[in-house]
Amino acid sequence: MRHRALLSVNDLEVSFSTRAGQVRAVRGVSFEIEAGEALALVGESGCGKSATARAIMRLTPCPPAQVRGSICLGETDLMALSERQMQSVRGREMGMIFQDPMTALDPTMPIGRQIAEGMVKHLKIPRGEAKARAVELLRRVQLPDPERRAGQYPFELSGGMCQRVVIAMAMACAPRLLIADEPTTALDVTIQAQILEIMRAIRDQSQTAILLIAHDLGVVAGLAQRVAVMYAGEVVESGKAEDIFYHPRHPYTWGLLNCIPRLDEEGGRTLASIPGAPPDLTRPISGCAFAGRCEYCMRICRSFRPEQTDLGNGHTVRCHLLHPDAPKILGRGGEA
Amino acid sequence: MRMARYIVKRLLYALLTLFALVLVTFFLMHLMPGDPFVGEKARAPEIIAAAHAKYGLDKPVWQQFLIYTGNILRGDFGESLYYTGRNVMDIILEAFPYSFELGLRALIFAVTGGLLLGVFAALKRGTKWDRGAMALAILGISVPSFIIGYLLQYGISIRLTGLFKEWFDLPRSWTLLPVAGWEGEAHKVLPAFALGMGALAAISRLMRASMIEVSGQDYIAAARAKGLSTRQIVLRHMVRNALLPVITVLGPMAASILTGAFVVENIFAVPGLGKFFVISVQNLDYPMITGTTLFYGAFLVAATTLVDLAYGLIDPRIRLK
Repeated sequence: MRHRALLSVNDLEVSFSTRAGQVRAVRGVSFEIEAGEALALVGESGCGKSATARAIMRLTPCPPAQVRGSICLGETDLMALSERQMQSVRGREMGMIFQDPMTALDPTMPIGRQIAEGMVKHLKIPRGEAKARAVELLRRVQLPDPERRAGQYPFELSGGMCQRVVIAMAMACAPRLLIADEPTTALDVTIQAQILEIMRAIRDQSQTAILLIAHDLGVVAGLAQRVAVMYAGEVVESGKAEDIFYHPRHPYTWGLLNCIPRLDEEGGRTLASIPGAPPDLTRPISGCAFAGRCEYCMRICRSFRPEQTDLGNGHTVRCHLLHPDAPKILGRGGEA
Repeated sequence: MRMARYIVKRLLYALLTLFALVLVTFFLMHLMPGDPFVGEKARAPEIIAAAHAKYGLDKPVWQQFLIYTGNILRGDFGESLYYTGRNVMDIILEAFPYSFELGLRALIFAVTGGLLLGVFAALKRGTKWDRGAMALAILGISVPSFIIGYLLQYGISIRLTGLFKEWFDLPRSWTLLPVAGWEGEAHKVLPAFALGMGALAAISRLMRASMIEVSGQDYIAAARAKGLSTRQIVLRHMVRNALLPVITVLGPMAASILTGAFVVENIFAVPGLGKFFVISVQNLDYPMITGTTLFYGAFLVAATTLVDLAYGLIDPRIRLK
């Protein structure tokens, strides 16, 4: 029998009906994550990474949204499950960490109870035991004084503490997959590192697979073994983290890497950015979605969608520059 | 300790409010043209002068005010000029329980009905159920209580009762619900319904908006991501948070329902306080005007204070600060 990844997403399409028309937020995304592996989904705002995450949890409201494609968790086809069956998968098999910890917790319920809630439901344990386990979880995410904190409300905690609570909440039933939607974006830089450290420990200790959504490649570097770069609803380049960071082949990935400020640089340089804006997703896109902003855009890029090129070692790129007849860009990519 | 200080502060504010209320009412009332003793019957000027002297109305208004405030502080609200010889407080305490019972019934009806309707409409948002519920709410807000009252009397106590008699061959004296009066349980249904309808509609609209606002919050998505069922999410996370803005309007609403039911009391012949208030203004019954105003005012202040305290029970952010 063929090996099956823990999570395999195939040709995922998410579109929203709006007044302006159909917005195709995710256009045929495919990827796999193995147990104990962290995959980062990277891209700028509106590229469809959060929509992908929510579609996997089946949290996208349909209608107005439409989700197509296949999402398999182990042997289970999530798209085929009823809402009721899905409820026993959410929280039990996969947990989710949200971007803003201050709004992801119910302001009128003590945090201990919010963590215990899922365990009472999925593990069928009495409330008292669930509360004791909640305190243990809080200790595991290194919240100081967990016994006292468990009885407190979210407004009594700082943002960093709240994010630890949100992680504990997502980890409560030891899910096989953890989806983290920009878990550090709303936090101070010093807290970011601690939160990432906790997530790394979770991945290594319990073999939990992590889908990390981020727009900041710096955050990705420390946690993810594999990276998929998204642009305008599709994956334009994906591969091992080293390949993406040291041998990127897609002009958009080059642009993203250029945007990271570096310490070893001479002062005075203005921060780099990619000029232009992503295409309007309500209109059909002919050719490559990035063509309008690409420095190396050729005539073919505007009329034909590039095929996916496999460079081996799991490194795939969607760009016409990789065609054997295309001009070589010096100082970039594998040859550099 | 902090709580005690808070309550004392609230009490002081309440007293200040009531003093301002008496002050304004007293002088406005004396600015009104007319005289309590000059009515349709012609009276000799000597008799009117004697009555003025008896009730102290011959003194300057500021002096009357000081005497009145002093009396109130001693707990003496004076005698009614219209219901001669009867103490104002006695009249209020005799009539108010009827108003209070009617108001309480209307309030319970409005709050339970309004919250249920609001939650229902929010959960069925965009469907014909939602539109139906909100059309009903618009009607409830825009149709005044006296029209609702008459419609209920005519529709239920007369027409529907008539139809039932025809169909089931019932005795002549039988009614589905009595037209008016205040004797048994059956008498109290229609007036409570008429009085509470407006508040029910307002609460349901507010609750619907509040539920929809809450349903878009991240912590609801987080609750779904935990795998909770819709029922658990609605009951544990949505309703409690959605209640907060609704509770703020409940204080003034409760006070106005419990006290301001003059029209409904009149239509359904309920022997409540509303009648005395209106008659006192019409007849320039000075002690009765200030007495009822002060009573209503104290009630309003007490109701809003209670709601503020109740707010703390539901929202920990307020309780613990």
